[in-house]
Amino acid sequence: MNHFPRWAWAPFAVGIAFLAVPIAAMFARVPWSQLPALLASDRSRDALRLSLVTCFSTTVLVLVLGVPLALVIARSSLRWVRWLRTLVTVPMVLPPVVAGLALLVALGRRGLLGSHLHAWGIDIGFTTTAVVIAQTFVALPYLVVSLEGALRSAGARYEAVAANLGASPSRVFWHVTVPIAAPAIASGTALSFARALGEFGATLTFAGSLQGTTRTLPLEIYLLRESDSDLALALSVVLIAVAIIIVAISTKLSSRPTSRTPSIASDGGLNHV
Amino acid sequence: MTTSVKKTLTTLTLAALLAAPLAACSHDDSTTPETSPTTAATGTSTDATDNSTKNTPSTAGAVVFAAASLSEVFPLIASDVDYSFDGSSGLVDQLKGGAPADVFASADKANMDKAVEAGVIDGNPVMFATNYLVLVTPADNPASVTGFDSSLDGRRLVVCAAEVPCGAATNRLAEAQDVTLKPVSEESSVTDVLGKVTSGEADAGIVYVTDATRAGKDVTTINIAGAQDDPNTYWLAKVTGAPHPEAADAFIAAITGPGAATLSTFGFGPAK
Amino acid sequence: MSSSREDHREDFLEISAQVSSRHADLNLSVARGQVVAVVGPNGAGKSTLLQLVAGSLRPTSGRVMMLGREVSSKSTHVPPHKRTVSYVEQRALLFPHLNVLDNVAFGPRSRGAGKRAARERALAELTATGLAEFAARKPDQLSGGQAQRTSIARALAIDPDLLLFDEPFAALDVSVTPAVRSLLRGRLSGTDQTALIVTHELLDVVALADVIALVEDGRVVACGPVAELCANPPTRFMAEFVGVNLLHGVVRGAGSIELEPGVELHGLEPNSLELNGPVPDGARIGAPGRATFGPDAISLHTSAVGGSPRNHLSATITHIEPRGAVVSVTLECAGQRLRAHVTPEAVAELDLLPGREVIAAIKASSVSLFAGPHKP
Repeated sequence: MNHFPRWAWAPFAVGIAFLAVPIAAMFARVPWSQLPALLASDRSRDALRLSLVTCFSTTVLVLVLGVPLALVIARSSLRWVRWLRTLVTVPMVLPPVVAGLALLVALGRRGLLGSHLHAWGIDIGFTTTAVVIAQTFVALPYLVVSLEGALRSAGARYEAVAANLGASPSRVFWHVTVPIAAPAIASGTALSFARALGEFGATLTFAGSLQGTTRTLPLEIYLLRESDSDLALALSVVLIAVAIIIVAISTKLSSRPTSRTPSIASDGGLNHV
Repeated sequence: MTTSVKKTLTTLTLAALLAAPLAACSHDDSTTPETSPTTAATGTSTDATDNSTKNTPSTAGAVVFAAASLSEVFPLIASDVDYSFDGSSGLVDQLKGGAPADVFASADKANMDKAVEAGVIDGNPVMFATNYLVLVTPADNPASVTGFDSSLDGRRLVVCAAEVPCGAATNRLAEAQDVTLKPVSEESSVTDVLGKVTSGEADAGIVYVTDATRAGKDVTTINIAGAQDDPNTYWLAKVTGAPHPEAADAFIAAITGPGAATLSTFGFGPAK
Repeated sequence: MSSSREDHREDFLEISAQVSSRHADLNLSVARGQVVAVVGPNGAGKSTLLQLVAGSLRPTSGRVMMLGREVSSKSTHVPPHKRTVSYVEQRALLFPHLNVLDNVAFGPRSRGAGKRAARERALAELTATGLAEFAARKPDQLSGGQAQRTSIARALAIDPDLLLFDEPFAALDVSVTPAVRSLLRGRLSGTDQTALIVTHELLDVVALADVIALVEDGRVVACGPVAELCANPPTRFMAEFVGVNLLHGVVRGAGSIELEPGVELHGLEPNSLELNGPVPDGARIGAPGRATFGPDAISLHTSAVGGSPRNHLSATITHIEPRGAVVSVTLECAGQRLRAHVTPEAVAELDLLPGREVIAAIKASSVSLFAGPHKP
């Protein structure tokens, strides 16, 4: 039994077609024979390299900041911590250009913080760092929100057991919390990476667009659609391919055996000694 | 089992059928016959006098696709028009895709040529304005830029990317002046360049004089020697299969005739 | 309280703490080596008691002392990971990402042992528990009983000063519980191990504990030897809790205990595992034993009878109490108290009255025998 009504197949088919047809259409239009030549150009390689480098840096930053952030929000008993959950969601719903503007107003040369940095000789705009900052700003919430939800529903029972056995809070974090939350961390990180990969509006507004420094793949595609749509298509296909790979890896990681709730062992159900 | 499979096939076929016309709708030339005998197929400016002999037709209801840099001046010349402002090449793509429009106004010749090649233009395009590049800095010119010269070295210069008309013009100018530009960012639209200058993020930017005029007190404008020798040309043309051909003609007449004065107050140069 | 013990053993654990949010005011002293069964109605405060000792709960006033040291009070609080107190609850909560061996080794590792030393200790513990063959398995490959036994081994591997159990068998299948209970009994009796066991099962109390602490409404209302509290239940809850007859005596052989010189009670060892702990066979004779049977297992006779029941004990009726469809007859036999349920008609027919001497016939097949926990 599939446990859904037969008629669900119809909207399912429409939904799948809705999502798949545009992507399939792109793949159909790509000049496959010219693909290697197109992608070998300097600008393609620069854009791809820049995207991968910034996205990986962003992912590291997202992990370092996001895991503790999610942990505190999920487990702290302070009342105002709940509001943080709302705050963390904001960059997710902001239009990316607005996010870029916000970053500009904060960290730009005449920004709230940026003006002080400028006085010390530090200018963030137009640098690759700015790209990473823009990507992190929009991508961090994805990890935090998905991990926080998972942590909250898992509760802290294993952590309590570990503490009773003598593990210090740090040890509990590294040896119990993180390994058990690993599948949720993996899928949250993949979402963040994918979001960072596709980030456009905030990057353009805050970091600018220069080949090799700030012109990531999406920016390159945006520029090329004006002049060389073949290359734009080719690069789009590359972007889709990278996204597919990341999502596939994440799916593999989040379905590891440790993610299965040990049903028998903890509930003491049917058993034979 | 078979019923659900049938259902899936039916819906997939439906979806495919829906997708088909969208795929087919690309380079089609819609061969709707002209409904109005008066065509805007003129390359001269006698159009204005021709139309003034009739009852001045209204521009009302015309659908005009125009380059972004015209977004402030056009509505002042003809206000009862349906405008769509975007980058010129984006507009060409839309016209190629079959978007219904009456008039196309391009910020450079290259894009108008593309439109003609694609067969979306009815008759001959007419040049109606020119524009040239200038250097702008934030109002207080914090980096003390003096011109298109070594004062730009090590400064944060923002320009248009080569793929857009103003970018191509910038590169031509730099080459002509034998200056090597080292921008920190190449934006996809002139508005973005201007924005970075007015916000103080950039030390200097290269935009059109019309953009500088628009920014007014927010920027300091510095002329570039030789810029006026290679101006950008603006072209106007009627779109094939225009839904409101009379309004289209009226619009073109309005821009090329009385509109010229308004254009010049915004900094546009006259048609050459 | 347990003040009857030698003084130096009294101070092992001392609780005199209040938790206002739970309306609890708990006072308990536990001597070293004692196994205390903590019983009481739901919500009475049993888990609160354990949590105070484990360190996961801080008292709002009062203090908890262990080995003469203040571990918990309003001003100080030794966190759980700094106490050598183990906590086992009904869920095994084995770390899902570690195999059985590493689960058991987790405690020693956390307390500073090197990886190899910790694993050796873990293997030793698993072997003692009979689980060595599962060392490489992952928790989700274990049955409920195996998992709970692993959990117990994990708790023991840190050599805790104090063991805490919160209804350890509640989630196990009835057929599995005896084996796990027997494991625990083997590890507790004959050792110096101090333990607190929260339980709802009389069987747990009987098999494992020396002392019962009865907790009701946030207070320890009674604390004393098991036999005493079972024979004289101080509260209604306790009386219902006991519900069965509990007799103690000395093991005289396989299947019988001597209640007092000359009075033998025959019964069954319900599951040979119950008595076959790590204690060698010969030592059973002469060791303390206990017997339980329900009030329905006794039939009363006014004169000696034959028939199948193997036990015919002389008893005196002390009181008679109608209880709905049956009548509860309390008897004194061999210096201990029994309760029998008979029909009202039987009472009338036999003319049963307090003070009468009767023969209590008890089917041996209804009597369960246990080796009681003994102290070194």
